[in-house]
Amino acid sequence: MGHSLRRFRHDSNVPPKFRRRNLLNMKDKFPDLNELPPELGLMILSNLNATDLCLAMCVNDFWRQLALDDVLWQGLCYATWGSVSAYDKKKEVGFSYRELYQRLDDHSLLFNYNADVGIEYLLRDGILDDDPKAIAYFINSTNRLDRSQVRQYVTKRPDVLDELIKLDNYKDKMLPIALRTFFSNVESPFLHGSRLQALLEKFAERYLACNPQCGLSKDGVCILCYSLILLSIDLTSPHVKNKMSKREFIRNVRQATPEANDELSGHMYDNIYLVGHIAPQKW
Amino acid sequence: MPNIKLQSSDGEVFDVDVDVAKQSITIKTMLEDLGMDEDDDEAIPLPNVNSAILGKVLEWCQFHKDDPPPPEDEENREKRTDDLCGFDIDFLKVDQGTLFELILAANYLDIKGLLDASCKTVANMIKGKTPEEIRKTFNIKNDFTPAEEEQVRKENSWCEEK
Repeated sequence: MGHSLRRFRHDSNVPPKFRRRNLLNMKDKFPDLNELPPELGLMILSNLNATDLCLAMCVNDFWRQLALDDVLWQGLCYATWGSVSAYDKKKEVGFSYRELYQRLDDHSLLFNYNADVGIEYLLRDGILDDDPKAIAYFINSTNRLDRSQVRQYVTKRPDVLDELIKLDNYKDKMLPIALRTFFSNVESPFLHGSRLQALLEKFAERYLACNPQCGLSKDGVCILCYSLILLSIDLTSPHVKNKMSKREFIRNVRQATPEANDELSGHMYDNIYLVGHIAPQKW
Repeated sequence: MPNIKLQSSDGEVFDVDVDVAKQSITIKTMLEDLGMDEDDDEAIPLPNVNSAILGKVLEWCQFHKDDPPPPEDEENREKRTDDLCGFDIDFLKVDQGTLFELILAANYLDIKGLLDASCKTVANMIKGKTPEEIRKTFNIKNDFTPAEEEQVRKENSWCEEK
C-alpha cells in the first residue's frame, strides 16, 4: 500500500501534458475485455477465484455484468465443492450459483471452526441433505475443509465414517499409501488407542474389497497396519534413539504374521522412511 | 513431411507442415471435410487472422506440435493459472493488443492450448488487483456513479473481508 501511494505521489509530479500523452499511447496498446466476444471474456474470468471475481465486478458496469454471469459462479462452486445435494435439486426461480457460493463459503468457514455447526447450517439451508451418504460425499469432495475438524466430526458420526471409507479407492495402492489416505479422514489413532482396532478392521475390509487379489486376509492387513504404525513411531519419534533398520523391520513383520512378504515389507519400510509418519498429527 | 499453404488476411502465404497446422481444429476439419489435397498448391484463406498474428500462432504450434492431446475438460477442478510452461510465459510476454488478437485467433482457429494459455495470461493480469488497479491496467473508465459504486462494493464486501 505504502509503495503504491508513493508511486501515486511520484506520478502527480509529472507535468500534465506528458501524462496525457502517456495515456493516449496506452489506449492504443491496452484493449479492454469488452472488445472481445463475451464468451472469450467469460473464459478469461473463469480463471479467477471468487475474491478476484468480486473485485473485477467493481471495475465498471460492463465488467460487473460479465462477472455476475452465473456460469462463472457455477464453475467456482463445482471446483470448490465437488458434491453438494443442492446441485441435483430442482432449481427454484431466482436460484443463483453466486448466492449458493456465498453460503457454501460461509458455512465451510464455520465448519473449519466447528464442524457440527457448519453441517447444521448446511442442512438448515437445504444445501445438504440430512443423509450420511450426502454428508460423506460433501466431505470427500471438498478440499478446503479442515481435516482435524473432519476427523472430530466423523468420530461422532460413525455412519458418515462408514460412507466416507466406501468413497476411498485403494485399488492397486500400496498398503502404506492407502493407510495414509485413510488416516487423513479419521482421528489420529494414538489419542484413542481403544478405537484403533475397530478402525483398522474397517480399513482392512475396504482395502480387501478394493484389492481382492492381494493375497492377504483381514487379520493380515490389520497386523501389517500395526507394524506400519509402530515403524512410523520408531522412525519419527525423537525419543527413540536406536532406529529400526530395514532388515529388522522385515524380520519383525515375518515373525508377526505368516502372510508377510519380504519384498512388500521392504517397500513398506522405504515408504515410511521416505514419506514419513503414516498418520501425521498435523496437516 | 507434406506441407500446406495458409494465407493470412493481408495476403501473406505461409508454408506449413501439416502436422503443425493441424493443431488448429478449424484447419484440421477443413482439410478433412473438404478433402483438400495436401499437395494442392492452393492456399487456405484465413480471413480473420493477419500475417503478424498468424506468424506468432504458427510459432506456438511449431513448439507444441509433439504435445500429448489436451486432457478432457474436467469441470470439477480448481483452475490454476500458474501452470503455464516456460515457453508459453515468454511467448505471451507481448503487448496487450497482440495478446488479445492472439486470443481471437486461437478462438477462431480452435487451438485449445493457445487459447487457454493466453486467457490465463490475461487472468494473471487481473488477479490480486484492486478495481482501481484493474482499471489502470486495461485503461478502463469507471462509469459507476459514486452511489452505484458504493452499492457494488457493498454487494461484494463478503468477499473482501477475508
